[in-house]
Amino acid sequence: MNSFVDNVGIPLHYVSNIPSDLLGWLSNITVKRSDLESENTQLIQENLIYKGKLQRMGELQAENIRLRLLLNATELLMDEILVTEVIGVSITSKIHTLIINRGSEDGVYIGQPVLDSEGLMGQVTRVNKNFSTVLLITDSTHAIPVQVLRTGMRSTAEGISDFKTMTLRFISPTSDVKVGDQLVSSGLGGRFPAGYPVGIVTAINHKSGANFVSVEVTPSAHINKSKHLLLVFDATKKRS
Amino acid sequence: MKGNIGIYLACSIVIACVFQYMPMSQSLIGLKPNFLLLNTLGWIIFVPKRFGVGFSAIMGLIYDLISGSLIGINIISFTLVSAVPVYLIGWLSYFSLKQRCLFILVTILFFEAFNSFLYSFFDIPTNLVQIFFVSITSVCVWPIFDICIRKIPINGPTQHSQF
Repeated sequence: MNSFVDNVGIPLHYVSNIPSDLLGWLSNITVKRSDLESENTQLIQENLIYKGKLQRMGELQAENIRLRLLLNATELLMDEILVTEVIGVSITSKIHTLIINRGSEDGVYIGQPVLDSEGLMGQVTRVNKNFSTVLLITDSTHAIPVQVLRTGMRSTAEGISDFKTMTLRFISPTSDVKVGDQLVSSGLGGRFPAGYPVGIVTAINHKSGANFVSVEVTPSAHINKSKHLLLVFDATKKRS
Repeated sequence: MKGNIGIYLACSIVIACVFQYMPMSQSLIGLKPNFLLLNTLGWIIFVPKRFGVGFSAIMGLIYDLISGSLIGINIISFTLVSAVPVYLIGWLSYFSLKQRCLFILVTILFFEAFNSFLYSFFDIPTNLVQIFFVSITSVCVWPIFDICIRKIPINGPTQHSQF
């Protein structure tokens, strides 16, 4: 039933995107030459910075592999990624889902992690031939195993149907968590790969007498803005 | 030109779905009117002898399916809300546009409040300000549905609701 509705809904998604696509096209053709030149200069500078960082990353990666081999650990596998585009969003603010233009023909599978340029966005929950549905990490039915980058403390970040906020539950008042701590995926459960940014701790509230503190997290990813996303293929599974 | 009512109905549902699917920014998505509900209320108000709570339940099912929410939440809400215009059968179509707008404001307020109550069982928080603003935006777009559905030519009205 859901598959049938998805197939019927896709043309409607395309039609409903026409006004925003038109606006985007209009803003593109009316941009000033001077703005384009300054943007181009900025992008060239950013590119140089990233290339410099990449060289350093390559060196660090090689060193990491050497150390892992010394420790007799398995070689860290690089994840394969696929760029995808958002073609539809959920029609209500209570359900946080996206429709992307990649499906089973591109090797997309249920449970596949989805990223944007800043962090984890969610996971694929329904796959059709040419498109898929992604459940965002901010949806109230979603939870993701995370760890605090500074201390390594593990927890679970849950969505509360708010694009800007997630919560960490069952955090003891004596736990070493501070505002500004970066959370990354812990890789536990095997659904999400480890080490991807999930969010930043923005508030810690402790009511006297309560057994746990309430920790608010702002997602790293631009949950409601990103147009282009990355599908991460599990390195241990070969893409068909 | 008197045409088949089914064609008008199908067109109105498709157009309502297109508007419902239309992407909006984070700050505005909570204010998006429920176009499918407005369309449903329009048909029940202006063609009360053909459309009733059964039709409303089907539209609720469509909304559940396209929104990806739990099947049943919107069926219950749509059915409950449409019971009022069904009860006021024959009255609402003789009201002025302003009076119908007031009726829609109250109806949408009730719908959003009841829907949020149902969602609260699944730990989805309720934004009371959003409920109020959704009702306002719904009233703002209601005259379009009112004028369009009222002007649809209908062949051979029946005495009792078929659904």
